Amino acid sequence: MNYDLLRGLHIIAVIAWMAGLLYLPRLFAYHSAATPGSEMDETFKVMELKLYRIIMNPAMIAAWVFGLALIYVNATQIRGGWDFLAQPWMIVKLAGVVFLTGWHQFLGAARKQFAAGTNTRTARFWKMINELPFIAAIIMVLAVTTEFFSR
Amino acid sequence: MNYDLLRGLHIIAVIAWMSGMMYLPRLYAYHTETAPPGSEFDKNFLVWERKLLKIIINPAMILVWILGVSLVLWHVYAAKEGWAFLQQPWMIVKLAAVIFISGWHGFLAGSYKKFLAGQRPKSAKFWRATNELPFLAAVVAVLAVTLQFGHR
Repeated sequence: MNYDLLRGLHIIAVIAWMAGLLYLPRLFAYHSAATPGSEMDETFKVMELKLYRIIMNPAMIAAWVFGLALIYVNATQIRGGWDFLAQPWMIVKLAGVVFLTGWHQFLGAARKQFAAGTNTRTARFWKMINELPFIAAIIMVLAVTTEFFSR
Repeated sequence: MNYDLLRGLHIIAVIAWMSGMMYLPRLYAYHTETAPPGSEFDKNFLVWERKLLKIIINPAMILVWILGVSLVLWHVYAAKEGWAFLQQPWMIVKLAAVIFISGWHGFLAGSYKKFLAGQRPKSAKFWRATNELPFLAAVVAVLAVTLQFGHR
């Protein structure tokens, strides 16, 4: 598969994944203020379920599949080996991937709590942590575009 | 400014812009469906929509444009490539997508004002059907710049 096509598809999957990662905590923040059992509560449950199942899960899988394919093509066709995986910028990037994936699972578990009406976290908590994945994404995008501290 | 840094910042701004552009119509769909004008739920939706527009979507679009134009100028002046690449098929497609997404942004912002005035400019079905339009444009725009298809 064409490397640039792969690169483009990876970026697109990341855009969709980030859209979900950035919006779900925002829904949680507003959801925290809704009375359990109210119409608002039920609407949020539907919105959260759809966002998680239809956008976030498929987008995360696509980002991983295209990302791994990019590593493989880099190692076998472009960089002539796997050494680049030990570069500082790549370690930072991979750490970011691990963090975002873990965050995704954390949000998934929280979604189940909201669905069961057992959320205990406050709107303040969800607002405070809302930008964490975006900060991670900033570091990750700059890591791969600038390849800082290459040795 | 370092080209790769500029490129990274542009991608980041696009991520933020697209996040908002894909979520606002979804809010509009639920707003139209579940929150009659004047209800408490209506007021909540208006706050969420305004915040999304003012804090995320508008600043992100401005950043995307500034960084995008900077990238074009970098190619023209720093790399001394001249302006000819703007006429490449992939660049024309990319620019058309930028104009479409920006226009869509304007349409969404205008719709917010109608919601604010207690109107329901379009059906929930319309908002759901058009929800993915900016994402399709983004797919085309990203593939245009990564592939540079039809290069001549």
